[in-house]
Amino acid sequence: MKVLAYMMAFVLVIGVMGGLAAAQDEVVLTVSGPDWAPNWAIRDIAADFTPYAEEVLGYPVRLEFDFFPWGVYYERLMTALVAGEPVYDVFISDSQWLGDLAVNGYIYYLNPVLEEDPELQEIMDSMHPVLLSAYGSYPDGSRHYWGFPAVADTKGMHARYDLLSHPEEREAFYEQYGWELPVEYEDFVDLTWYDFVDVLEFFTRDAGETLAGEVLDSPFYGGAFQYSKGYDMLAMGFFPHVYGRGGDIWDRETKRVQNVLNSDLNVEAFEFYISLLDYQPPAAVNYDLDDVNEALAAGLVAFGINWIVISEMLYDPEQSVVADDLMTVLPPGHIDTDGEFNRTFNIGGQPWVIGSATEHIDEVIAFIKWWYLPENAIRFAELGGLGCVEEVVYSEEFIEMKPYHRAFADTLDWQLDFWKEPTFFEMLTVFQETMHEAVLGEREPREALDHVAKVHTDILVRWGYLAE
Amino acid sequence: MNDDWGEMMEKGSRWKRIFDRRLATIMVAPCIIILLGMFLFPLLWSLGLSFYDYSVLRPVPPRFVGFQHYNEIIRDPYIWARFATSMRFVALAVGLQLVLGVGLAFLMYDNFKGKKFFMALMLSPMMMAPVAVGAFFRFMYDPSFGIIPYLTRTLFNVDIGWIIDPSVALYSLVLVDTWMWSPFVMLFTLAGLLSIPQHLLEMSSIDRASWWQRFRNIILPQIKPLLILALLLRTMESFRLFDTIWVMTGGGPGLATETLAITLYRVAFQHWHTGRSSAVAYIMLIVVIVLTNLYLRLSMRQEGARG
Amino acid sequence: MHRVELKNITKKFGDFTALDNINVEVEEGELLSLLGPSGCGKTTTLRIIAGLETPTEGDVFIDGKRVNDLSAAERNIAMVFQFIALYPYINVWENLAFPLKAQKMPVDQIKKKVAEISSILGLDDVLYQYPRDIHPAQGQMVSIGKAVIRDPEVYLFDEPLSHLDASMRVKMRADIKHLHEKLGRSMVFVTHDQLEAMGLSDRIAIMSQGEIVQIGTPEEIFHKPLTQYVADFVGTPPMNFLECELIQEGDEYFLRANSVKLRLQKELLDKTESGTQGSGLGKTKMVMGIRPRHIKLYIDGASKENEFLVPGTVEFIDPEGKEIVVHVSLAQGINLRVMVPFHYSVKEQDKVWIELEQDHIKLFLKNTGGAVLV
Repeated sequence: MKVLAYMMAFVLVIGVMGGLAAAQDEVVLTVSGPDWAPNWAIRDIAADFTPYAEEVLGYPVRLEFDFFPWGVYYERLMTALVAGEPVYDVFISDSQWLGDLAVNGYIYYLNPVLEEDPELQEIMDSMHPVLLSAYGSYPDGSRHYWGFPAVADTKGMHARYDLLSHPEEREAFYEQYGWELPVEYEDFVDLTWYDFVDVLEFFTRDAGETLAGEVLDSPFYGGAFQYSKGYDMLAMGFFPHVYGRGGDIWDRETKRVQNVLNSDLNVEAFEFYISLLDYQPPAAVNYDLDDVNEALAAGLVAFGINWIVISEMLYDPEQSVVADDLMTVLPPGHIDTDGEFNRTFNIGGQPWVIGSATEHIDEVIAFIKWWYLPENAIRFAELGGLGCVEEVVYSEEFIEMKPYHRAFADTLDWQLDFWKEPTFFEMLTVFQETMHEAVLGEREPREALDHVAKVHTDILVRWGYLAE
Repeated sequence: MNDDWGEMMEKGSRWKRIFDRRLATIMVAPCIIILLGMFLFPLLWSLGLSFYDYSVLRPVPPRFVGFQHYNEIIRDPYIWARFATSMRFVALAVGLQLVLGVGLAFLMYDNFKGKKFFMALMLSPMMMAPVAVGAFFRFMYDPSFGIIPYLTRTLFNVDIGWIIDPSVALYSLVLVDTWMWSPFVMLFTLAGLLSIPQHLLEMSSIDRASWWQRFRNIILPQIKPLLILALLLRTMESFRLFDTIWVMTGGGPGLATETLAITLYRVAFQHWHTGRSSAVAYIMLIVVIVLTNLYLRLSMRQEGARG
Repeated sequence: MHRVELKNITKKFGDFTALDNINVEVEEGELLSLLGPSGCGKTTTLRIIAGLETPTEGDVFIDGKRVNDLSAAERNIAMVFQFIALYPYINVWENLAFPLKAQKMPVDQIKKKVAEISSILGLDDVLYQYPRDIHPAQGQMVSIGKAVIRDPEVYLFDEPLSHLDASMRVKMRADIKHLHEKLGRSMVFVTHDQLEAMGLSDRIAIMSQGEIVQIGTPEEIFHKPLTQYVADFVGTPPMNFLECELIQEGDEYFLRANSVKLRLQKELLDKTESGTQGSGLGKTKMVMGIRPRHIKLYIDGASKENEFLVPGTVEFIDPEGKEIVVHVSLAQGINLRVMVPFHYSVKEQDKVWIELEQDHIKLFLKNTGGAVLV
C-alpha cells in the first residue's frame, strides 16, 4: 500500500510540475485561415513572434496555423466554432462572414477593447478607411468594429506587355479597330469595357494563326475572368459590371432585392459578362481564382482579372512562363447611369478576428500589435501580401516594391462589399448556382436574376430583414 | 449428506449461472452503450431536430414547427430536382457498375497470365480515399490541362467539356464512380462464380446448353444473392455520395451535379439550417430504406418461387 | 468397331503423371468398369473420354472417330456425376427436358419423351419438385434420366453411387444394371467399390497409379488375378496372403512360412511357368494367396488321415452375414482367415485343423507382385 501511495504522490508531483512548466513554457495560439499564398506569408512572418513575445511578455508565444481550402473553409471554421473544438484564438475570416460571427457571439466585439487600449485604437485609425470599413465593421460601414484588417485585397488586371507592345500587333490592331492598342499603365486608367472588348477579340486566335510573330500550335485567348460556381467566384467576377453601370445587388439601406438585383441594367450587365466568354478559353465557365492565374501563367491568355494578393506567383519565373512579360494595371470600367466613368469592384481581403472562446486574449492583442509593426508590414508586402495601413499603401516605397502594387493602391477608392449579413451564404448559394446555370446557357439571364431576386427576398423576409 | 451436497452443488451452479449472466452483461455493456451513443442517440436526436426550427450555429432557442420542414421540402421543386439528379446518378452509376463488374468477374474467372497483377491493379481504386479520387479526376478532366480532354481531342478529335458542360458533367461523375467501384461488384460476382460447383458447369456443357441457358440456370442463380447485396451497398453509397462530387464539380456546372447529398451539405453546413437539414437527411434515409426493401423483395421473390 | 477406344493416353498435371500410357476399348453394348482406389486415375480417364480433360498424349476415339479436338458438347456422350448434378433452380421435369430443349426439340416431343423416361425410372412422383427437395437417390436417378433422355452412344458414370447410403446403393446398382440391359448402350462406370464393379460390369479394368493392371470379366478378375494387387483389391473378405518360400523334401513340395509348412500338390506346380524344375523358384521369396472361402476347417482333424491338414488355434471369430470368418493362427505371426458356414460351432482358443483347397492356391512373386500360379 505504501509503495502505491508513494507512487501516486510521485506521479502527482511530476504532473503539477509539468503543468507549471508548461504554463511558463509557452503559449500556443491557434490560428485558422484559408489555405492560400498570403496566409502562407503570414505563417512565415509569425514564426518571429515567438522570440518577440519572450522578450516583451517574458514567455514565448507560438502560433499554430490551421489552413483550409477556400472551398470548404467557411464550413470548417463554423463547424469548429459550433463544436467549440478546436478553439481558434484568432482566425482570418472572410469579410462577409462578420455578420454571422458577430451576431452569434463567436468573435470579440472590439469597441470596448479599443477604448481601453489607445495603442490599438491608433492602429485602427491608421488603416485605409475603405479597408477598415470592409474588414472591421458590422453592420457594414458602421462604427462597430469586430476585426482588424489583415489581408487587403482588390482585383487588378494582369496584361501581357510583350504582346501589347509588339509593333506588328499594334499595327494590326490599329488597322482593324482604328485606335491605338493600350500598352502603358496610364492607357488603362480610362479604358471602358466596351473598348476593351476590341482588345479581347483582337487577341483571340486559333491554332495556326500568328501571335507576336510566332505561329500558334494551340488556340490563344483574349482573357480569363472568374465564372466558377465555387464559393463567390462568379459573383466576384460579375458584380463589377453591376456596380460600374450604376446598378447594385440590393438596396444597401432597405435590403430590398426585387427590381434592384433583377433590374434591366443588371440583366444587360449579365448578358455582357456572358458575352465576354467568347474571348476566353472554353474552360472559363468554371474558372476560379486559381484557374485564372494558371491560364495566365501558362501563357494561354493575354489578360486576366484576379485578386491582386495572389499575384506573386505570376511574376515568379518558376511558376509562370510569362513572368517577365506581365504588367498589372487597373481593370476596365463602365460608364454609369450618371455618365461617369466607374470602376467600382467588389472588395476582397480578410480581417483578423478574435475568437470569443480564446483564453489568451492578452497574447492575441500582443500579436496584433506586433503584426502592425512597420517592418512586418514590409516583410508581408515583400512576400506578396497586401497591407492595410493607409500611409503605407500610398507610399512611394510600397508602390515601387512590386509590379502589382500601383494598381492595388489605385483600386482602393473603388470598392464595395456585398451581403455582409448572416444571410450571406444562403444568398450566395442560390446566386452562384442559378447564375452559373445562366452562364452555361441553361437559363435566360433575366429569368435567372428574377429567380435569384425572389429567393433572396424570401430569405431576407424569413430572417426579418424585409417585411413580407 | 448426499442431498446436502446436491443442494449445494445446485446452489453453486445457480450462483455461477447468475454470475455468468452478470459477467456477460458487463462485458457486452460497453459495446451496447457505444452503439446506442454513436448511432441510436444521434439518429433519434436528429429526428427530433427535424421538427424544430433550429440552427446550431445561431444561439436562438429552437422553435417547434411540427412537420413544417417535411411539408416544405416535399413541396419544393428544387429539392425534387436534386432528388432526380441523385436518382439519375444512382441508376447510371450502379447500372454501369453492374454490367462492368459482372463482365470483369467473368474475365477474372478464367486463368490467364498476369491475372494476379491485373487483379491488384483493379482493386486499387477501391482503396483510395474518395476525396483523393475526386481531386485526381478534377485534374485529369481539367479542360485546359487535363489528360482526358487532351486524349479525346487528339485521338478522336472531339472536344468534350467533361466537367464544364452541364449535359456531360453527371456522366463524367458516373464514369469516376464506375471506375472506382466496378471492381467492388466484380469481387462479389467473382465470389459467386467461384462458389459454383464445377460439376454443374461440366454437366451443362455435356448437356449442350447454350451460353444463355447456362447463365440463366446455373450462373445467375448462384451469383444473384451476392450481386443483389453488392447492388444494395452500391445504391446506398452512391445515393449519399458526397466527397468525390464535392471535390470534382462542387455540384456544378450550374446545378448539373447538385445531388441531394450536396444540397443536404449546403443546408446543414453552409446555411446552418440544422432543423431543416435533419428533415432532408431523414427523407434521404427513408428513400434508402425504400430502395433497400425493393432490392430485398426482388431477391425474396426468387426464393419464394422455389419454395 | 469399338465404341470407345483410348490409345496410349498419357495425362500429366504439371510434374505429376496421372495416367501413364492407358489403352482400353469399350465394345458395343458393353459396360466397362474402371476400378481402383482414389487417385488411381480412373476418374481422369473417364473425363478424358467425356472431353472434360484433354490428354497430354494419345488419342481418344468414339465410334472410330478421333475426338481429341471435340468439346464435351460435341461428343455424343452423357455423363452422370459423383455429386448430384442437376440445375438447382428448375424442377425435375425441366431438368429432364433440359438436354432436349438444348437440342431445340419440339415441345410436344419433349413432353412425350420426359413422360416416357420418368415412368421408366420411377420419377413420376417427383416430376414437379425441385432438386433440393428430393431424396439424393432420386436426384441421381434424375441425373441418369437426363443422360438416358438424350440417348447418346456412350454413357459415362463417375462414381454415381458413392454418396448414397448402403441400401440405396444396392437398389440403384440393380436399376443401372437393368437399364444397361434394356438400352444395350456402351457404358463406362467409374467406381472404387469392387462389389459394384463385380455386380455390374461386363468387363473390369483395374487401375493403379495411373496404369491399367488388368482388364477382364469379373470372373477372370476374381479367379485369375494377374497381380497380388488385383487379388487383394477384389473379393470380400479379402484374400489371405502369406509370405513364404517353396521347398522340396524328397518328392514332396511345401510352402514354408517360418515354422509352418503347407503341403502342395505336385501337379499344381506343373501349372507354373517354370514347373517343378524351376530351380529359381526354390530360392525366390513368394507370397501365397488364398481366399478365405477356399480353406477348409476341421474341428477334429487329429483323427483324419489327411496329409494336407495343418493344425492351428482359433484367434477370434467374426460373423459376417450368413457366414463366419474364423481367424486361425498357425504359428506366431502366421494367421489365416477362413470362411465357414454359420452353423460351425467354433470358439476362441479352440484347436482346429485347416486344409487349403489346392486348386485355389495362388502364388505371387514377392518383389513384383506378378502371379506365378493362378
